[in-house]
Amino acid sequence: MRNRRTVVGGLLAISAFFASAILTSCGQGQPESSPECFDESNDPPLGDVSQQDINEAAGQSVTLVVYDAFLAPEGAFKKFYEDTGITVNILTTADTGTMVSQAVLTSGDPVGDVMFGVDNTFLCRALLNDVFLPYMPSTWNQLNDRLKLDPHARVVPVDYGDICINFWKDAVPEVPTSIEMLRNENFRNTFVTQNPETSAPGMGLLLASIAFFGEGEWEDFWVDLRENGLKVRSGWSESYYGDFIAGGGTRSIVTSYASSPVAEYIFSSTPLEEPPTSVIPNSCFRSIEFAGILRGTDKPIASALLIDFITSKYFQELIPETNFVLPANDIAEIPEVFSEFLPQELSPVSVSPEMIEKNRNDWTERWTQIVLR
Amino acid sequence: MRNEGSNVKTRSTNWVFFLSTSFFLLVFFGVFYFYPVGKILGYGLNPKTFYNIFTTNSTWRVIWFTTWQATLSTVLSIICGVFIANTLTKFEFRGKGFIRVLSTIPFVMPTVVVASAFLSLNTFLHLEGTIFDLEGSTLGIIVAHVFFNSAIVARTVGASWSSIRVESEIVAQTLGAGPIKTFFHVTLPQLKSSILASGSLAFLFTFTSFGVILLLGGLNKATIETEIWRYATQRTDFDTAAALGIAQLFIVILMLLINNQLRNKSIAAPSSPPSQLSLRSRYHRYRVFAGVSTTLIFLGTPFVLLVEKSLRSPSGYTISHYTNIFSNSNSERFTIFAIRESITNSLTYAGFAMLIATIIGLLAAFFLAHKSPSVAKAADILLLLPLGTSGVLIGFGIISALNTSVLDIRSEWWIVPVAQAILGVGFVARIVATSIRNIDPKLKHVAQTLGASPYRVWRYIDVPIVSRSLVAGAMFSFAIAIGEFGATAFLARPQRPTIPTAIFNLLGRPGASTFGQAMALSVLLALTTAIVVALLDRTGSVVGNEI
Repeated sequence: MRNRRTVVGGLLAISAFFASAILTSCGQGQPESSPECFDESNDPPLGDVSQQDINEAAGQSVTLVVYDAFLAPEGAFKKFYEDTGITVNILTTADTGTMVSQAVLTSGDPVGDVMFGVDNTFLCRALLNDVFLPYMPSTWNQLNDRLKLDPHARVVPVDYGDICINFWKDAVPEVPTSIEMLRNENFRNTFVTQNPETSAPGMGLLLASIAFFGEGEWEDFWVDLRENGLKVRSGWSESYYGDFIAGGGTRSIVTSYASSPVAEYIFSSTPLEEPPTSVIPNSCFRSIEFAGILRGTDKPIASALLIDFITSKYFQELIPETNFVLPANDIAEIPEVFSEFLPQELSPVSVSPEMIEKNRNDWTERWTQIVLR
Repeated sequence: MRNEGSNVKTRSTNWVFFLSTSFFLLVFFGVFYFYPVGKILGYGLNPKTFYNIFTTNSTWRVIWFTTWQATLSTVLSIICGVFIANTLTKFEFRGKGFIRVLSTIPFVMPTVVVASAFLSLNTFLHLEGTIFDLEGSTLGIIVAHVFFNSAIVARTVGASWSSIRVESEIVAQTLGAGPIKTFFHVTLPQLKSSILASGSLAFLFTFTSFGVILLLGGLNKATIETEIWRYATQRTDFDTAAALGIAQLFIVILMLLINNQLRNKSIAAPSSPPSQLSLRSRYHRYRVFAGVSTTLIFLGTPFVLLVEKSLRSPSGYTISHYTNIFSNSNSERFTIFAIRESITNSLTYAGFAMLIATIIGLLAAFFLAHKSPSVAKAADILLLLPLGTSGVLIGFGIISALNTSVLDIRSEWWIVPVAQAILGVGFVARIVATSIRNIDPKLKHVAQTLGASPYRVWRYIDVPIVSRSLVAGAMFSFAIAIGEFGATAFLARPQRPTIPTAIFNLLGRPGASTFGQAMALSVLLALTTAIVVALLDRTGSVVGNEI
């Protein structure tokens, strides 16, 4: 008797799901991956915004979707409101991968109107799934040409920065001047990095190594690193504040950003003469972040104005000190502390978004086999 | 016979109460849980995906690892929790309130902070490379799970321990049974129901645990939950993620069915005044000392390390990280983190989530304690499912499903406390139901015979008796909310800083003082929780003493 009743409970639960699952599962499915991410857009580009449109958009509110680490510069969106009468609500998601996956899931029926922060490693996936509406902002000609990866302007570059290997100047056995040196016995047990499947800087270093050493060679580099006592963590915080000198750890070399020394300087607990860390110049991967209007928005004009605003000189000059990235707009000036302490003469490598999309799973699986198994 | 005294009116109010409550619960869970999760699981209903996934060895390895680590973590949490509960309910000693509060705090700490504390423990004790290495090892995962979950067991078991027949224990001891024999043959059977209740909660938490696995184990120690996360968020492969989600739910339902089988109708124990032994005999003194010191060392060490880190700066120890949080000077660099605002926001959100969870959980508890076993068991499984569902899938489900042409509620600010409450309801209901089942049915019959309406019976008999466990439930739902578990991380939410998000942002920027402030803020989170728990404890005993 009791058996049957308990089973009733289980069956009820299972059927509740299947009812919802079957009701909603019709017409779903992933589009077949075509390798061309930058093909002509399906949607016609949003035309120029007229003065009348601007007047009509006043009083609306738009939602800006961002990844969790993005922090809005203080007062920036207040200025946008004063200029246009449009209110900006910021909607935080999780990491960039999660944000893009959610956008793919809701493609055409987005949770917000504009997305900020899709990077070049996830760009292709977003474009293949038709997440954005093309719009050429009024600032287009001011934006750095090398950063404009999508010629159809479904996304526009908003900032860039380099993922580089950092080292604690007073703690390294010798000053590392090349990524190759990490293979040396001298650097045994000094390096901590992140898993590329769980961390953006970890992914950046994997891509940097692939671009630097080339297909067929990069695996050997990681084999050597592993033999030389490489340590791997899931996330940046655990490696930087767990194993790296900065948080009281013992490792003197860590995968981080080119701007990390600047942050070390700004957020030091006692004023410093110069940053305690530096970067290895040829270890960098260029990360570019983009913004785009989410397809399915019911406020295209207000969204377009917001894209204009976040690529404008005013906003671009505010991003470095809040998010530690550099402006994509060439006429924006870089804060003094950045021009003084940002490591110069880096030679960042890049890998095309199509290559990344096509090989990402394969590369990370090979990396896992080499480094973790 | 039973309803001798009830007239037509009571019977109809009874039905109205039953029907309206069940309707309300079904709508609430239907809209915020079954529909969204069902929609996302729909992606997994693809025979080809299913075939591909479940014919791979690595999938079965992941399923097996998830299951055994959760089972082992649960068993150890039960042992640890019963031990703490025993110390706290059977003995009277100074500083008891402190230990009680301390045992709850681990539960609310952001995983990233606890993981960091465990990893510094690793360095502190020089465990790296030994068999006790906590990093990247199953041992580390299990120790952290026990750390997080023994509080659930300690609280639930403690609540029912204080109401079991002390006479039975005394009789057993008088008849010559030693303390150990008495415990296993007399005490344990009476605690069985609450142990199974809290044990299944611990199992659900450890089975779907995400942060601990990722931070302490890495992807090497993949579980169903971390694989769902990897496929859904990093690979945008919803088919695989959903198929794994179906497997996860299947095991959770199976476990809940087994748990239901094990739970015989519990012994209805008349509430007797809690018996507490003060420190008279030498044995008792040693026993309390052992209990208190183990609890302190196990639960306290990570906090000591945390406090130490919050005071550390490159130029020696300082309290400046704390003063910077509360003073305006020198904090200009930190305005972007909005740290002070985050404290008020956290309290508001968590308070709101606690309110929803407690009200709905209390209503739901009456289904769990319903006299028809089929109602009780169906309700039990339905209410606990959210805790055993992948947080990633709940979050993604809500984002993809809760939009109609009229109303888009996917990104409303209250969706976050509601999602937290959905997890909390099962908690509150389960803990409360355990104590409802222990209410002497005679008491209610007498009241009904004397013509009391169901409401009056509920208000004057049930409420006072269950208030203690209701407080325990409320506390955990508050803890779930303020610590921001699972699903909320995968919702789109308005950018309003809370303590965990501020900690996250601080830990995302290099610099000695961002790190120091993150640690200081974690200590403040622990203190805030401690204060709330202590206050609730006090209210709980006041309300409970009304009878």
